[in-house]
Amino acid sequence: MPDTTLFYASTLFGAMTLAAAIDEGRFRDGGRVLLVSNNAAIPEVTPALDEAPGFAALRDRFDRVLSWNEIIAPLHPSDWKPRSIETPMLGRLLRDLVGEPGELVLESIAVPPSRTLAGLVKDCPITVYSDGLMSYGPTRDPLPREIAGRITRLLHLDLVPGLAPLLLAEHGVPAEALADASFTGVTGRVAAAAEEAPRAEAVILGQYLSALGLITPAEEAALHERVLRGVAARGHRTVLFKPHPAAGRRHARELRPVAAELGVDLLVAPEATPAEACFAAHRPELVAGCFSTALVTARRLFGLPVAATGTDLVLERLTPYENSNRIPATIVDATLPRLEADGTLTEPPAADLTALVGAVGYCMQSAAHPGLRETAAAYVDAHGPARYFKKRRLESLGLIEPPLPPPAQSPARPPAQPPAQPPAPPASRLRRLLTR
Amino acid sequence: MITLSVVVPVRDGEAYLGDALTSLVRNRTPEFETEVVVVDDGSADATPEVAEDFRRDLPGLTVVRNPVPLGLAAARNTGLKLAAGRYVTFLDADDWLAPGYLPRLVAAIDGLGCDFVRVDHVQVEGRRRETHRAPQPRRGVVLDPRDGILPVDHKTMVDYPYAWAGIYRRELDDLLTFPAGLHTAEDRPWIWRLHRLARSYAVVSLAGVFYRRGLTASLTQIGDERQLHFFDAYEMVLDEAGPRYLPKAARNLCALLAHHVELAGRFTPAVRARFDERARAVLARLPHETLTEALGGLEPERAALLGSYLPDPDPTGGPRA
Repeated sequence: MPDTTLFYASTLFGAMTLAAAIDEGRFRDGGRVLLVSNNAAIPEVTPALDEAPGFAALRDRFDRVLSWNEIIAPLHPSDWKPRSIETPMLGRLLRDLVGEPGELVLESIAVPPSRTLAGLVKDCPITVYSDGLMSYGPTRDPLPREIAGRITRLLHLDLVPGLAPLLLAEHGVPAEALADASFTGVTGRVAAAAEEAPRAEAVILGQYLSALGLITPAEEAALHERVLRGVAARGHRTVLFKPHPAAGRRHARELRPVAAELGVDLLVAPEATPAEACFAAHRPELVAGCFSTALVTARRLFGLPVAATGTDLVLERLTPYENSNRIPATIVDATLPRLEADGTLTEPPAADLTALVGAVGYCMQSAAHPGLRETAAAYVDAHGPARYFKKRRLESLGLIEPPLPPPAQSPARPPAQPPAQPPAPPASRLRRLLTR
Repeated sequence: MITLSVVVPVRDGEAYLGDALTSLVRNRTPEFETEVVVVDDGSADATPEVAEDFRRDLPGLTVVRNPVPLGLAAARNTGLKLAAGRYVTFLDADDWLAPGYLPRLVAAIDGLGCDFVRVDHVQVEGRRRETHRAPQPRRGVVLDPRDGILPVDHKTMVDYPYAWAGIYRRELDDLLTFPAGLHTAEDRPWIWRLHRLARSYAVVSLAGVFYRRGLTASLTQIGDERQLHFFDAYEMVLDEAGPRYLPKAARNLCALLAHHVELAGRFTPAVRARFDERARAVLARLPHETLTEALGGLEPERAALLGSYLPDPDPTGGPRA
């Protein structure tokens, strides 16, 4: 009788989310196996989540903890996919190792290793749990029916109250929010078990976008420098830098000369201590970063002042348009105060977040969400293509008119405007005027 | 007493050295003392700062610096001179180790008690990984290094020259020294000498070294004069091979020459002219019979690439591909 629940996690944040869900009684009784995967670019030099001292606070939720990297060594979890004719054998060998699962609990279902696991363990329902802010964005790749048809629910943190997750909505998967208190309870216990971060007036959350090739390492250094300058200009003299878990020590090293120039005492958080543990332990006066989910947990779950820098650059660079970081970047950009290097802090213009996320989500995965076309059309009409959209994408979806062809090919048209700024077609120009 | 010295040569390695050193931090063990000798071969980038950043986490860290680059062989030799461990291994700055690999490596050579132990490794390109096996099917037993050189027509341990894929008893001393002045193929004469002169070795199935492929600055991908150092390397191998191993050395040389002819497009005309001259000279060294045999072992179309470098046929009937 299958009575094991097989949990998969790749980050401490994910494992904390699972622990919160377990504490809420969201899973059946019986054995619990946690399969830990380290998906960093170089897992060998990046501690896995169960190596973090804070994991000690979560360990007792699980009967066994296994390493997926060890099982498939030396292959990389994000790379390896079994050949389909081999899945019966490999699935059997895996079930020999973990037991016969009655339920599979996965995050980031569209990509390996989650998708690999779903293909190896075929005969049980799947719960998907959220990957921070990404749960508000569309599913990254189409899922085969054989997998999508097994997903019974999406468990997520209620990071943006009132906003419904788009993830898996195209398959009719119901979303269930976890209670704030169960997550903050878990982070408090993890903070107590974690290696303590030094106390500081402000916390800077590092990003690691250069690893994705979205910006260059030099641009990333400049982005971190902008944040540090902004924080210093606001008068904070001790700053805790929390490097991205996979980024190693490079970013802190690059920031040190800037901190020295600014007269700021730059402290570095222990590699394996999650940002949420820093918030829970010290309640800093400001949490600044680019578009980390931790900015939203800091504000929403810990009530801390937060500020975002450089989301405009990220929104510009994210590619392809359907890059799943786009919705997190959009939400942060549209809702959090913006910090500049000179210390100015401005609230973003008021936005209808549900409409914005629906519109961006439609443009990312239009085929999966035809029902959002009206939302997207109305949003783009009202606000134009700036900041959150790419003109080429809007044109290919027919949400804006393509630029006029050159005059030589269209003699009937009136004299052309400067080509960089094609005139809005009359109907939408009128609509835009009316909605102003 | 230091058990293990890890020699890490690095030149302009700021992008990768941190990964290599982090992997050494994750290989620290209370069971024995490890020292890390970073030899900065005239880096012009932030390599020194990256190394300094590890002082606290690698208590046995020594950093030495060549003000001007002397090449990989010389950098390794500098590290060897400073190495105080009972055993020594190498780690190139753009590669990294699996956690727990070094304790297993030391346990292997401790348990086998031989002069050196060679291992498998993993080649990495992005997130793709492939295990490469050392070409010795017998594992975990002590063998005669001379038996690891032959046969001629199979890949053998001298065709797996990577110094970083192994651990070596420090008392081998001069045998571990790399031929000075070589900027490429320095490990060929090195592995040949080791196999000809060391007393014992073994191969174990450990694949803890991750070798980064496809780096653009890699010497094997550039076409300047340094690329021709493989001639010097093979001259050394030929000098010392002796009659028993000369056929193997000749075969390897011909295969490598054919490989370079295939890629000769990246040479400048001046380097190409020098290449042609040296290719003729080195093949002229080989006894006719040995050369004929060596060419016969190549695929015909590869042997044909060497046709223009062969010595003029003499009346007794010299080799012609």
